[in-house]
Formats: sequence, C-alpha cells, structure tokens
Amino acid sequence: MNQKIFICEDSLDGIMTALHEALYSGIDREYLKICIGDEGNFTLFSEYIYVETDPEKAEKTAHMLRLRLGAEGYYGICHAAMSFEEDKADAILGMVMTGLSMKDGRMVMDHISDKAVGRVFELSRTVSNEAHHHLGFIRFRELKNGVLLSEITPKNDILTLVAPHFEDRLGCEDWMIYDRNRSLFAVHRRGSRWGIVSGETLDMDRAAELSEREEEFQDLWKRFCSSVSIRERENTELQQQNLPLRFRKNMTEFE
Amino acid sequence: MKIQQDMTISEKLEILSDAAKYDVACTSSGVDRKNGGKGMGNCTAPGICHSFSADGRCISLLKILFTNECIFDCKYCINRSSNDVKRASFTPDEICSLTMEFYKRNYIEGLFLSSGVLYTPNYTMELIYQTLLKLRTEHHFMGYIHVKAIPGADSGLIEKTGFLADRMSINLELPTAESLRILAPHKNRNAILNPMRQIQQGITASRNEIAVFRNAPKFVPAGQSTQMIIGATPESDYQIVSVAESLYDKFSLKRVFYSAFVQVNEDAALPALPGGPPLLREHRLYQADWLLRFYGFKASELLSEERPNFNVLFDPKCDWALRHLEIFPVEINRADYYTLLRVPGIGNKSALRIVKARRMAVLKFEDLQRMGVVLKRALYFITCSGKMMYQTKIEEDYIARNLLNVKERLPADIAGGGMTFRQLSLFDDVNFGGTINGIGGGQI
Repeated sequence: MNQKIFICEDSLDGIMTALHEALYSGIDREYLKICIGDEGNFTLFSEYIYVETDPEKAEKTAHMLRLRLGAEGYYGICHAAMSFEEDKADAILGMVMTGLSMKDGRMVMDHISDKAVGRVFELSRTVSNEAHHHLGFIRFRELKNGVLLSEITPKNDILTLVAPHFEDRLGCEDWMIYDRNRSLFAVHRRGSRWGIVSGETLDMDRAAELSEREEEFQDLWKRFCSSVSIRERENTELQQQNLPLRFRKNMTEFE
Repeated sequence: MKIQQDMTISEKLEILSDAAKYDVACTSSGVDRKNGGKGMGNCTAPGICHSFSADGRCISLLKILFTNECIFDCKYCINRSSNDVKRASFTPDEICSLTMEFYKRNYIEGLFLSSGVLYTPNYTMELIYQTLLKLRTEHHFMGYIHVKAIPGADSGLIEKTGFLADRMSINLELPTAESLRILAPHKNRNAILNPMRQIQQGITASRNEIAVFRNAPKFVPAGQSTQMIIGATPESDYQIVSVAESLYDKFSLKRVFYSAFVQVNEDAALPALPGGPPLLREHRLYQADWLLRFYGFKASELLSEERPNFNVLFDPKCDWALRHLEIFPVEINRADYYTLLRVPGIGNKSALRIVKARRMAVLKFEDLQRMGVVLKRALYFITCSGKMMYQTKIEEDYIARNLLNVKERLPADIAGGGMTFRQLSLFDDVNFGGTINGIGGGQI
C-alpha cells in the first residue's frame, strides 16, 4: 500500500486538522505520516494530501483528545506543537494513536518507552523549559508612553505560555512582548486580557523612546548584578552553564 | 567609623548589595500566590531565577542590607564594627522604589532584606518591619519577600514582620555553640534558636488557623531557612550534616544553606585558606542535604564518627552505594521507589517516571536514558529484566575505577587548588575506600 502523507500548516489548529484527517482515514500507522509545510524530498509511492486548516475540525479533535488523553496528554500535545522541530506533527500523530489504543488513554504520557510518546514527552519538556527560562530572563524597558516592552528570540513558539504569567503579575501595567523570530506580539492593556497580534512589525523609533528614569534603573540594575557577585568564587563557566549565551543578547545586564 | 551623608541611591545600592552578597539564600520558592487584580506581583511555588552573576550563582531577589552599620563584632563578617568600611543605610522609601521598579522590569522575583544591627536589634527590626509594611500596604507589592529576623529582637516585632514576609530566616552562622562563642562574641546560640522556634510555632499556628478560616492571614507561608558558614571552624562534615538533620527534624526548616567561608578579614581566630573558599566541601554538603530531604537518607548512613568527612572523589550517594554493594544490582522493573532512589544516576524525577512507565511496558536500558537516568553511572548498579547492561563486576575497586573515568558533572572549576579529576584517574591503585581529606576541613 502507498504511504499517505498529510501536509499541514505549522500551528496547533493546523496539526489538529491534520490529525482529524489522518485518524478518520482509517489507515494503519505505518502508512500514515503528517508533515509541517512542504516535504523537502518527495518519495516514490507516496500520496501527498494538503490539509487546509479548519478551526471547526480542529476544535472537535482537540475536544476529543482532551477527553480521551486527559489534561496531561493534551498539554503534552499542545507544548510539543509549539516546538521548532520538524518531526513534531508526526510524533504527535504516533502518540495520539498509541493513546487511543490504550485501555485508559489518560495514562499515555507514562508510556515513555513508546517511541512516539517518548518523543512528544521530550519535545514538550524542551518547550516548557524554554518557557520557564523566559519567565525569568525576559526584560522589560519602560517606554515614554508608559508601556513596558520586551523583545525575545526564543527557539520555540512560547509566547502563549509566558503571557498568562505576566498578565497575572503585571495586571495593572500596559505591556508588550515581541517575538522577533516570528514577528508576533503578546499585548496586554491594563485591566483587560492579553492577546496575540501577528502581521505587525515593531516601530523601532518609538521602541527606542525611553521613559525619563528608564536609563537610571537600567544602570542601577547593572551595578547590582556586578556588585552582588563574590570575586573569590568567580566562575564564568558555571554562569554560562546556568545562563546560556543565547539568552543574553536580550538581557539588560549583559548589554 | 565614618558615616557618609548625602549618598546617591546608586552608591548605596553598590555598598549594600556588596555587603549582602555573602548571604547564600536567593531562592524565591515555596509559595504560590496569584495576584488577583490589585497592585503588582505574584509568586510561583518552584521559584524563578532571573539572572546569574559572574560567580555562577542565581540572582532571583534584590538582595540588600538595610544598613551595613553594625554594633556586633563577628570576626568572619565584613561589616563587623571594628572594620573600617564605607557605611550606608537605605530609607524604607528607597527600598520600596528599587523593589517596585526592578520588579516591574522583570529583573527580580522580589526582595531579600537583611541588615546589620543599627543601635539595637529592636530598632533595626522595626525599620525592617516599616519597610515591609510600606511595600505591602502602600505599594501593594505581592511578589516574594525574604526577610532576616535580627537575633535579639522582640518576639512581637518578629511576629508582625512574619505576617508580611514569605520566608524568614535567622542565620545559625556556625554549626556549634562553641564556635559561635569564639567567632561571634555578641551572639549566643539561644538568641538564634529561640526566634527560630517562635517562627516554627507561628507557622504551625497559622496553618491550623487557615485550615479553619480560609482567609486567615498567612505567617511566613514559604517557611523558614537558615545558613551556616563552612570551613571557618573545625567541625567535621558529620557534625554539620547532623546539625542540618536536626534542624529539619526539630525546627521543620525548609532549607539549610551552607556558605563556604570567604576570608574577608584578617583575624587570628580565623583559619587561613590558601586554596580559596572550600567550594568542593560546600558542594558535597549540598548534595548530602538533598539526600536528607528528598532521598530518605539519614546523616548516620552517610557519615560516622570514624568517617567524619565526605569523599573528595565521589558524591555522597555514590560513596554510599560503593559501601553497600550487597544490595546491588537492583532490578529496574521490580525494585520499589525508595530502592531506586538509592541508585547513583537515578534522581527522584526519573525514579518516579520509571515507576509509572513500567506499568505500561517492560523497561529496557534505552528507555531509561530518555527518562533522565544517567546510565554511565547507573549501569553498574542496575539490571533490566535480569541482565546488566554490560558485563560488569559488582566489586568496589572495579566500579570505583570505572566511575572515576566518568567525569562527575561538578560545577566547573570547583575542585580548586589545581587538582583535577583526570589526574587522579591515572593512578590505578588509589585506595578508594578511605577518605581523602585535603579540602577545607583538613587545613584547620
């Protein structure tokens, strides 16, 4: 039998729609595959199906997965779907099929010895780790109009994971987190809910207009970071192990 | 002593963060608090690291002293009254402004406020209380606050402060009362242990109250911690670990921190440490501390009067395993959780994953790797379905030699004194059973 390859958009909805198509095609796992975007190498004897994202089908699949795989399994899928790795959609497909074939699908994330589940576990762990790092490493600067602005360059698409944290923490502030790699904004206005804005770019001139005391506090922070270190224990290797260089380009104290 | 007037906030920050840096604790963990729409800030139970300083330590809180003026003359302390250092004091408003502005920019997770003793313990504690009160009620700050209780302050003041803070700590300073008498003549053990007991009882009372009245005020919800200086006095590792154990058992402390002695003062009562601070020793104590708290070990299992210090070459768990080869190898698919925890290379997360995953399928060695087991250490101690990973011998010298080739993931450069692990592994006949005592403890 020919292999069927579903090609979908790189978004949670896209992957959910493709899952819907794949699961309902009734084909065995070994002949099924889901790819994100265009497959680089076309293989012989494969049938390529382009899946158009359909929010309704996506929602239906998501609902079913929440019920059958439980919260843990569902979050595993969501986090894995935010990964930058290319094999994520296919790993999710495998994990879902394993879960649905189990007596109690809610235990699926415990089945780490299954290859696909193990992969989803790994992807989701990497994504949540990066999100957790950003909770600490994100730096805001205060602009002239009072907005707190942060620019980040994460490997994975973690904006929706960090935004709720800042919504709760800085509920009385206007803030904006800009993912430079994906040109996405998480935007929050005082007293209302956060949202994602895409298709806009950062106005560099306005982003450079700082509030009156901004530079003073940046300077105070830099002084603090250097004076709090103990010279007799200096250990930049350990520092780098804990705070890899890729984060530092967006951090005030390393400017 | 010269008191400078009219210092800028920047100068003060530099002096008072420099003076606070020897305090180890910078954790922001232990309490989960949503903001709920008023003021600024929240707390997450695991805590968040915001940066790392050049010594590799985490920066989570704005760690400052209220003042570095001090009437005490503790010999190990940079701020002792007999030292001629620049002195400065914040005002409560300055601390509030720094905390709020730093927090808003996501520089920090909260405030760590300690202090030298200005005039009297009560006077200082009152200032700290006023600062916290301002921060919580005027600025509606909901982030994390760790505050030091000043030894000798009234219990009423400590109690008031405890209702505003998340974590309180009183430094034990030195492991034994005798050492404290020699190096910190103005402090005595009881002035430290009494408020520690008071806070412990306050926490219990507050928990009981919350069980009945959900909205009762919370007293030190993230628990209490303390800190000891390591290597300034002649205590053995065994004594130190035993002290820590009884602090956990009898005072229900959340954490005990160990601080490798850094020589900042010249004093006849202090040891000379030509090799720098005893960092490896501190590291071993932290490892043992984890074993006490999360792995069900007892201090008496790790060390004894006859073997009072930790092995330089192996971490305490490996060391323990090498002395208890009779229980190994353990079968991954059958051993209970607590037995798995005793295997070098298996941590509490991976042990939990193993216990869950083996309900689904029989586990093989390649599965273990994915679960976070460090196989190159664990492989000498485990079987999967009755088989060892390679043909290895259950023999102390053999395993010890092989484990030495696997470089321990020590924080870089910790070994100090130019001694590296590779050099040691060249010797074939090192007596691995005995302890090698050369770091920190041996020099005193």
